[in-house]
Amino acid sequence: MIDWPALVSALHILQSSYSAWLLTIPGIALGMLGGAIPGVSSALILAIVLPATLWMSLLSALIFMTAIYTGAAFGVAIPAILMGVPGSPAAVATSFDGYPMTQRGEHNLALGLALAASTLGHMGAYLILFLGIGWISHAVLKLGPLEMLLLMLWGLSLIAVLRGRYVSRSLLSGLIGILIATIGLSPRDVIRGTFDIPELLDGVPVVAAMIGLFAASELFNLAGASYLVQRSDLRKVSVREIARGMLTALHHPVVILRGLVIGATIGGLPGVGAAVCNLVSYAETRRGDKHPESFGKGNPKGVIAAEAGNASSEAGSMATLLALGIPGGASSAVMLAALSLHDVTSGPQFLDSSKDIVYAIILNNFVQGAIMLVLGLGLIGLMANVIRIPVRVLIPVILVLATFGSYSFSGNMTGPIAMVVFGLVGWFMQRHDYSVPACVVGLILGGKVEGALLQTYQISGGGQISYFLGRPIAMVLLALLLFSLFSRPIMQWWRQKRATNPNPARESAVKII
Amino acid sequence: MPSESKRAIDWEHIFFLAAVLIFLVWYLSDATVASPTFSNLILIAPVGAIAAVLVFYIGTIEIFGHRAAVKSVAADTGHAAAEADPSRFRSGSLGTIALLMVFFGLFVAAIPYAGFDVATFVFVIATLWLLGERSVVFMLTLALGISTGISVAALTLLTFPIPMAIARAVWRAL
Repeated sequence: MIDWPALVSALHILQSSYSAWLLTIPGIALGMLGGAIPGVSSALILAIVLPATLWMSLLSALIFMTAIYTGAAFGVAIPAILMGVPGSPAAVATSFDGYPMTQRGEHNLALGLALAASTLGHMGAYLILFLGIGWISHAVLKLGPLEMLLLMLWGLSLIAVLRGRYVSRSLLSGLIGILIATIGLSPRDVIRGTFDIPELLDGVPVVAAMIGLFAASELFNLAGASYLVQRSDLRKVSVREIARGMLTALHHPVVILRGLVIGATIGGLPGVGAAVCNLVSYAETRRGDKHPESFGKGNPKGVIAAEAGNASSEAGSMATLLALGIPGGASSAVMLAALSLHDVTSGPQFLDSSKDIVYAIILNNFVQGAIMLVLGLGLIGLMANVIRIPVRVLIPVILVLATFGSYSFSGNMTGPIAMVVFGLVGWFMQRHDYSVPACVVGLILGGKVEGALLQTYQISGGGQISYFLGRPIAMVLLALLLFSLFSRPIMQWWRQKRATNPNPARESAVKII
Repeated sequence: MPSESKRAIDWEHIFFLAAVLIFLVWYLSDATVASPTFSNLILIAPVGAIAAVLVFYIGTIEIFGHRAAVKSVAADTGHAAAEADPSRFRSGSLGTIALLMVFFGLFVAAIPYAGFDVATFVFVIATLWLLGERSVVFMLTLALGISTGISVAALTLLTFPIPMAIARAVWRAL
């Protein structure tokens, strides 16, 4: 599978490209710092630096952008762990166990776990990409809209079923998220639910809504508290503890391996990306664990699984971008724009003619992983100090930064207004135990679900069952979807039945004795 | 029936569900009026219908007080929240939270008129005061620092205009 002449050529290119190497460290630092600000995702940073890449060579531009992507993949985990505020959908699952760890005073450990899992996930996934880019491009081509639809619904059902206190309320949250995502101009050019506001034609600004649901609602809750971590002895920032967390992550190679395989494969699916990878990785780890009830309470494996899945999705996304010319998510869409700035059209032809460039990017990303480890260790200590800041200072500062981030993304007041509205909605949802993450995932995937559903309907000739029966991957995905939706209620019913009606055979045996 | 088996109805929750139901009915009717075609409603109609059923189901449980049954479901979810964190809404009084929401809403509403710089300055001071900060020097310093930082970031990084009252003129003068 490895093209050796192209690999040698890639090594020569990297040897002579000093500028590309010089851009790697600032790129990672920029991504990490930007990702640590709620609302400032890798896509936003990439969009801001996009014009600057015009003056770089193609390789330098791609390496700089992947470095930002790499840094941001870990950066988004920092607010998720320290404040329970995921900087982007990619860090939603990280907050599930990372924030409870912070509340217990184990923030250093959680950050160490996240850094190690991110680094290993990133490097492992690029190794997979290195070995199997040809195979990946073939495999992704076999997935049609039906498979994409089922995959997205599966991801949504997992979050609704696994995260919520009440399944019914979590499912309702997810469904409401889907409906809100369909507001605006539909794929069939129908205007729905816009109140005749032109800004809503593009739909509800998802990033701003997400910041509102997660960040603003949580900050409202914190009003009146002194510190994020109440006990002063638990607010210390310890590089030693962070390093211990990194070593702890190494004790869970299966969790990391599972996360990176999930991230590298699902991350390659167009439109799915890191937003689903971290959730699926988390859910699968929880499902396979001996103590699933400990997840959500600060189980280190939850942080490792989520971060490994998130960080490894970049490699999968790059595979689809380079091999097929299809962006896996918002970040790779900006990278696609960077390629077009250099008059390059990615896809099978680019992969065939510029394999050396592709290999150079992959090799540089191995080094990026190592740099992120060192840089992250240095910067985490700085960024973890956030928990030593009084909450009365954090609340206005984060609200202002998040408002700025939402404005930056939307380019008008739609973003900040959506943030306020969804902040209030999120607060009420939390107050009545409705799953905010389920609503956010619905919001992210809703538009794509509708698009895939429409495409499937058309391709299948009006919903012919024979179309579905002829697609084994879709059948497997449907089985997974049904299992995730109904396994828990069925198990619940079975347990209740056993509890109320003990084994009659055993009872009669006892009576005889 | 023993009084222990009953509980007070959470009317706030019922109002929340009613708001969700109103949204569902309004959105489905708006989408239907816009285009009653199958392709337009292929996702919205079934999702809206299932959501409405869930609203009635949750509302019924809330009103008729089958809390024990719900709790037994929750107990098996295996999720942390099943053991509700009593400290979740520990921090401020509802009055403080409500005022914070109002301040935040006013801050966002003021941006187009007062500019990002001035609105930020006022919002930071007001929120600090609301949350218990009483050092005037600290409040002024932090508010000035944040509004300056945001203004510089907006003027140097963003390629589209952002409402500013003073910062743009100062930036040009410098």
